[in-house]
Amino acid sequence: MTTSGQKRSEIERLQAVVDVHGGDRERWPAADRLALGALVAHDDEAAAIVREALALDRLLNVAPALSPEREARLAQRIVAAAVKEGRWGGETSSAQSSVAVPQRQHIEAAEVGATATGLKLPPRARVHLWGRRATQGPWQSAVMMVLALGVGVLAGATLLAGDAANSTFTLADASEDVVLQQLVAGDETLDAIAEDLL
Amino acid sequence: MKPNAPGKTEAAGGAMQEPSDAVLVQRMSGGDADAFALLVNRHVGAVSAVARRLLGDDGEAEDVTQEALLKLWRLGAGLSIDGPGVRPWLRRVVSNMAIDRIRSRRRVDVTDDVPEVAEAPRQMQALEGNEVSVRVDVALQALPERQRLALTLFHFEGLSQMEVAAAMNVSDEAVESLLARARRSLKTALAGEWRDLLASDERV
Repeated sequence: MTTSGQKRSEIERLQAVVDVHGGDRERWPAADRLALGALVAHDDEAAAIVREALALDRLLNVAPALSPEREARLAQRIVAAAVKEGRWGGETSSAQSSVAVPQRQHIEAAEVGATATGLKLPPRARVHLWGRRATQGPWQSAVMMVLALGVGVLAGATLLAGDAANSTFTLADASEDVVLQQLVAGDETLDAIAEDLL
Repeated sequence: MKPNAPGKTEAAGGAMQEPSDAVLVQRMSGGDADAFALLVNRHVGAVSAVARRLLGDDGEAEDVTQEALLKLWRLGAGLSIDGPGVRPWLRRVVSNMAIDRIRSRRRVDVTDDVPEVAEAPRQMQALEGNEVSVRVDVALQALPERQRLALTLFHFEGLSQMEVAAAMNVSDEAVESLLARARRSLKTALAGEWRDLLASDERV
């Protein structure tokens, strides 16, 4: 017959076990499963402790996880990123993979760039223009040169215009005709430089 | 003769078997993205669940899951696969990444002296919407990170106490203490919920 002291000790042990392992007896250490089985089966207080622990286990099981749809999209993105990245600095042969590769971010980034520059990109360039494996074709070099040229012309025009303005001030005491001639000469110089560049 | 389904091999009895993680990793090491896709589909759910429960945020969970699986892709043959496959390794990687994120979050909070406003909408949602799962999530996120990790690995991932200890690089006794403190805190935080659950069981 179990004395009250023994029972208290077993209840305390049971409480310690469920605090660590929860209410599922399959998760308890084998020794405790054997030692406490009879107590749980025949003692109301022990049975209540286990019921409470099982209720908490069930609550924990409703903790949110990613939805299946989100999980599927994530899986697709991971595989796409791996295929795009290649391996060890090299590239994965497209012949080795039948996996769909959406590469959404890079396509979007390239499209934004193309819209900003008013360019119509060929399909392959749309994917790789801003990607890690981007290769520059002749048309891309041409675009870059034209853009650089434009910037150069603008910068030059600003400097020359500044020079012309300065010369106007230094010639403040000269006649109006002289000043006008200088300004006209400056405009012609600008035009000549722009023509040369273009 | 019908061709095999992608990613499946024919067993001696003619039944189609999923290739093991070790086989897929070997194929993946040769640059086979289909093998990697099979590994991703096999493990993304479990790995993202660990990340989600540790981080409490879908977007961050997706980020670390992606990082962990891409690490697998990059390592390839450099990874030693034994009986349980890549799952324990992935779990460890994703747990470490999640904990790093939690720690860096805390550093930002301290240095910028920003109050934890991010939790407020979810708490409000829990109070107003009476969503049990949100309440559970809030309670889980309120646990200290090591307690949450121990509970995630033991309860949600089904690891044994010894496996949790190995994964966390702590002693069995430490795991016991972490689990006990975690469950006691949750029992207090979710007292209304588990009592309601018991009451509804009794009514049935």
